[in-house]
Amino acid sequence: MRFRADIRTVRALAFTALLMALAAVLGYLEAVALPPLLPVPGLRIGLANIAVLVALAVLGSRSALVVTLGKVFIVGLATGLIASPVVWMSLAGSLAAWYVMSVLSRRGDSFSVVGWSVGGAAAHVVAQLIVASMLIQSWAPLFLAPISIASSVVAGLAIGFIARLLLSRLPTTSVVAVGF
Amino acid sequence: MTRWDIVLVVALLGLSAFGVPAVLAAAPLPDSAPSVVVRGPGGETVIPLDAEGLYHVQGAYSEVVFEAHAGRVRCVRSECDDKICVNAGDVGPGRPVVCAPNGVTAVLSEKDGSGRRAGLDAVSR
Repeated sequence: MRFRADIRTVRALAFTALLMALAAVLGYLEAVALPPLLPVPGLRIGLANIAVLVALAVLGSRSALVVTLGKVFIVGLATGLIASPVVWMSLAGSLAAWYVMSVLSRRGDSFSVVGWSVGGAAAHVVAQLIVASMLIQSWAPLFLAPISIASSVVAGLAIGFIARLLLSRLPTTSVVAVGF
Repeated sequence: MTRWDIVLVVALLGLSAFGVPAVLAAAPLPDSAPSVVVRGPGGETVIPLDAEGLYHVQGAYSEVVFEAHAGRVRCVRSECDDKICVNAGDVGPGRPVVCAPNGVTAVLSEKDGSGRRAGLDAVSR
């Protein structure tokens, strides 16, 4: 029996898998190697979001969601935090970021990839702080919101410019924006 | 960057600088003398700012140790992975120490017995 598939769908699937692997590696690197180098405890740059942004720009929001969920699951397994409350914070933050970025990406030319990234980064930290508050049943984490949102804007700008640079170098002719 | 990108960045920075602190300044705080209130799965521990010594708080997964010294309270030991709580430094106004994996928070209580904020007001914070 021969398996027949649309070549565009196969390419989109392969590219999504590639981006998921990239997101997992960057997410693991950030979770394990970067924290000692950062000046603010708990600060995350969001390197894995580069892959999500590329998926969103090239393949669409559904593929970006697949990359997002894959990243959370793989990094959770690799760091051993898959069964801890931290994974709920990561999942909530990632899903909030994906949702906001998807909404901004559908606003035509109003927002660029940099804007998507900034919005996603802010949504990520706000969702994480809300879930942390729910998990420990205290408002205390929300007191970190001002510094967290401000630092997320800086991180979002950096990641957005990196993603834009990456997209400008990407041979998009080999990948058709079909999603799946 | 587009015009709306810049609007988004400015709006978020404005929210961070003015909006969120204004809301948090109005948040209810427990009535007590100036002290640090540590809450965990096992209950609440109040550490007076003039206290000295180590305070052991049982978290969800491991013990979290706070040190009170020279009018300051900070987390000195936790078995969590990221050690964000240990690296966070002193508990301060608007700067809680949180160990999310253990479900432990330490916040500065700034209300006096009348329910008003003691010491600095919301603006100067």
